[in-house]
Amino acid sequence: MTRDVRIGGIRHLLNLPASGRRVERDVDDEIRFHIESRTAELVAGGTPPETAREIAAREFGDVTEARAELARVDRRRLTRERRAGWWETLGQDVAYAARSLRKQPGFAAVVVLVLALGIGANVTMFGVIDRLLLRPPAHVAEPARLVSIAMGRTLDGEESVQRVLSYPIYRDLRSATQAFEHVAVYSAADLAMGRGREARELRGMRVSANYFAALGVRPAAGRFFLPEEDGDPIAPAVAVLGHGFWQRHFQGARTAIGSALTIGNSAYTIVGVAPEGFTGVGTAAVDVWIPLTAYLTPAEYEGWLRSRQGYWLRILGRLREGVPVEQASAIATSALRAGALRDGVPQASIAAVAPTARLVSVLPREARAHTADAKVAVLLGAVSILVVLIACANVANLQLARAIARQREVAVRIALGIDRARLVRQLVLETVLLGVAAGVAATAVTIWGSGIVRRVIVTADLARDGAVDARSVAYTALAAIVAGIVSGLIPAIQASRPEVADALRAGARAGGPARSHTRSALLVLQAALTVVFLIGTTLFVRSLRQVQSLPLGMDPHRVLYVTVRTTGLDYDAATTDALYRRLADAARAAPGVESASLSVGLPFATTWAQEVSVPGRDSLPMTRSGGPYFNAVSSDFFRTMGMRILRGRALTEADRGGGARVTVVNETLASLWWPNGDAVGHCMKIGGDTMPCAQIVGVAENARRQSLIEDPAVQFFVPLDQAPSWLDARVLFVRVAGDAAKATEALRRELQTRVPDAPYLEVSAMEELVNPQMRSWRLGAAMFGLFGVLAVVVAALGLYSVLAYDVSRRLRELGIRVALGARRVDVGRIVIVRALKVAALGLAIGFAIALAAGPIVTPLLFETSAREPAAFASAAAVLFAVALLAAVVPTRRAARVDPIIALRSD
Amino acid sequence: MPTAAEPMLLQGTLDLLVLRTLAWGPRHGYAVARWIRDTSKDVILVEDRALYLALHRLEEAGLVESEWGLSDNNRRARYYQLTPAGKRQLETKEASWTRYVEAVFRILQSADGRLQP
Repeated sequence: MTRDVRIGGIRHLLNLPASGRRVERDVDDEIRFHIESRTAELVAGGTPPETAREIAAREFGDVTEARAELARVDRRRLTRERRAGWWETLGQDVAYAARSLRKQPGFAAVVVLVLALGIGANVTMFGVIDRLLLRPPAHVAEPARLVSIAMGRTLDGEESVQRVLSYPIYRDLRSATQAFEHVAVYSAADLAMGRGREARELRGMRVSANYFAALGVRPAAGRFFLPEEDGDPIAPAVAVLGHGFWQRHFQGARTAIGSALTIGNSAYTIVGVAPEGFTGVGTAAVDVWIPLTAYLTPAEYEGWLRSRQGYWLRILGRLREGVPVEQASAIATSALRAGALRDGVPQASIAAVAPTARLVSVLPREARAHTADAKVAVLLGAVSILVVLIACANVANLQLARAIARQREVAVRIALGIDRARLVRQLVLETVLLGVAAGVAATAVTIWGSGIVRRVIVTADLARDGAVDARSVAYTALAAIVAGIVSGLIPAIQASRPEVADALRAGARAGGPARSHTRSALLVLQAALTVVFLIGTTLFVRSLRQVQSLPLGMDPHRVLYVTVRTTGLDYDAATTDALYRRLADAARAAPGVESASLSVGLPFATTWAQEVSVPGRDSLPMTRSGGPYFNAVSSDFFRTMGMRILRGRALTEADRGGGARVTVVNETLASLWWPNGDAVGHCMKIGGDTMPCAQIVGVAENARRQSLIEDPAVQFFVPLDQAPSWLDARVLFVRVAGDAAKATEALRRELQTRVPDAPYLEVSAMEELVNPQMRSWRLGAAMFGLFGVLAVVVAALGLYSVLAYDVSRRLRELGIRVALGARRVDVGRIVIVRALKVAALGLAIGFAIALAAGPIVTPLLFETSAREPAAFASAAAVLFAVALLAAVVPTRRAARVDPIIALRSD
Repeated sequence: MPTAAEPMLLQGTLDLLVLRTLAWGPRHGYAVARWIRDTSKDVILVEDRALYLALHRLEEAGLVESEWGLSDNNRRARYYQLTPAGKRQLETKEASWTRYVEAVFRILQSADGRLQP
């Protein structure tokens, strides 16, 4: 083996044919030599030269064919040898790189740390983007042909898209069979299992029987729903389990199939289990799927069929093969309009509203690309690549510094005739090896980093998947190798320059101006990118603050809301109302509770609208938000929610069902309808002209209705006892003394104990409704902050190491300066000035980048300019502080240089 | 001149002959050809083309290796020499070939013996 290697090496150096042409020339030479030698031999034996040549040629055989054959064999051999040689020397080079790294474990550790932080940040963002945007929904067959169907409408001249639709619309779309193979619906439904203290919540999904067929998913066990399990009202109660729930609750036992699962008051027969990781077209895990019509009464079903405006279903369509989306939308649109006409919607209003079917692919990059979360995630993904670049720049700088120390070694190897490409490869392999080690470490960073990301975007339900899977491992490996090459290439090329050898011979000790320029440029680059991060962090933090400081018109921090899962329970309106009143009483008696109140609406979730007329007015102005919206509330509502009464009084216990009709209106309604500020005392006919007067008794502060950022809406409040009897929706609000988010489970247990016959109570903090709306800014602020800290740490390390190294190399020169009378302050200043120069240049470039990137970031910010001077100023301050900090130790070392060192020779 | 039967013989033996020829040290292709011709006393006539093909194939198989050098009359010539793998191959092939030839020879001998009682 060793002998082969040696011969291979010699051949490599001496006579390895470099090209195909060379191979052919060698073959020709060999044949010519043979024929001429034979001819000469024959001539020497007395044969006449012409005859001799003929004989030699005849003995040889077909020369042309021989040339071709021999060249073919040789080329094949060369290719193989070259490939084997490449791998073999790669192995040697890896071993060489590993040996040289082992000699400097400190350097290796720093590089691994720096790269691991960078790669970890990058991989964490890849995980988020992958789940948010890249990965198609799991187990869904041909997701490209699956679309979600929404309805576009024109309301008051404005286009809007309704994504949640009604049962009659679903029925209309099902008739569009030329366009769709399947039209299926689903609706998330939180279900309750058990009662009282035993109560558990299930994340349920009500689906049409063809839902699984439409998605093309196969069961992990058992079967999915049959058509008859959905078609008729009062269908047989069956359930399909989510894989995770099956594992947790039934330990993955096959015997679960056929057994009963009690949801609410009803028993469902388990018929199958969905495959692992199947979450429909969304990202949230599902515990159990039940048929749409499970435990539906004929009367309720009738209700579904009649309420064309009752929006609660999400509709999916599987396009027929070869039907383009435009054609399918046209077909679906006409089905929609025909259905509306059949249901008695006047032709004129169909023409005015112009409902159209909007088909959107379920592929995440199309379905979710427009969301703020996705945009912020992509921005952060790009930013995380910058983090890796900073890390690479840093490592490159360390390598460059090392290369200077290794000049001698490199020069010797060049003198020994090592191929330059191979030298570069050996040097790059060092950083690649470190990159791979960093990749392993980065996996740990990823697990930790994903934890942070998940905490920030908890509701996206990304949390359920493992942080590290095959895709992220593959990506990590790729990132690690690329980072290794990127950070190793420039230093390797510089170090392998032939001039290095000359420099050595000339006895020069400096690394040459080019190299020191490269290093300064890398430092400046790091500083510039750091500035970008610091500015980004400030902008996002500021946006988040702005959003958080928006006046909500209520105080969500101390308010909890309680709802009862009555799905599957045969509660009528009166029973529901009585249960909630008992819960409200129980809550008032519970420790730590300040007040409790009932309501029919839930801010940020459900609001109700009703027609209103005011005697003597033909029309009432509205805002762009529509309305008028109303809420029916029990006494103490305003106090519980923390809403201030600006004029008049709040609603009280005295406002009974049979008593005088009263209402409290919000500021917008009051000022819009009674601009003179005298709303209190006027009459509003709630429900229309024919209704009796309700007297306005108070004006309340404006409160958010649906989202943090919305136009104010016209809104009023009536006493719960005076609300229409069909309104059986209830929410219990509870105001607690401390932090509401921490009190949820305690309150749930308290109520569940005090009202033992209550089904599962869902107790949530109001903040949980508010916070998801801040998610994109929160994500931006958290990740930018994290990356910013990383960037600062890495840049500081980089600057420090370069300064310290320079000082150690220039000790002699500095010593001479001191010996010649330079003051120590001046010597120290050399170092400080260098650090400040790097910071200043980096700042200038960083500002330029930040200004250029402004238009990209602006839409992601909230009431914050991308050119916010404070952001730029604070970035500058931080950068200079970091530069000075990094310069402290090297400066002191330089200032304390002992002039005696100047006398010592190398 | 080669008959139709000879290539059959050469298929198996030419490689062996070439390896044997190289056992004493590096030679160029022409020397190998001449040595085979001279040693076999012109009994085995190998087409030179086939010989070179054998050499190049043996090199591809890693049994011989080649290097350019100078011939006796100072001309550039390609010298072949055995690799360690080639030496091992020669030993095993030679042994089995000898056994084979001896076996054939014994059969032919005994047949003669039976015909002349």
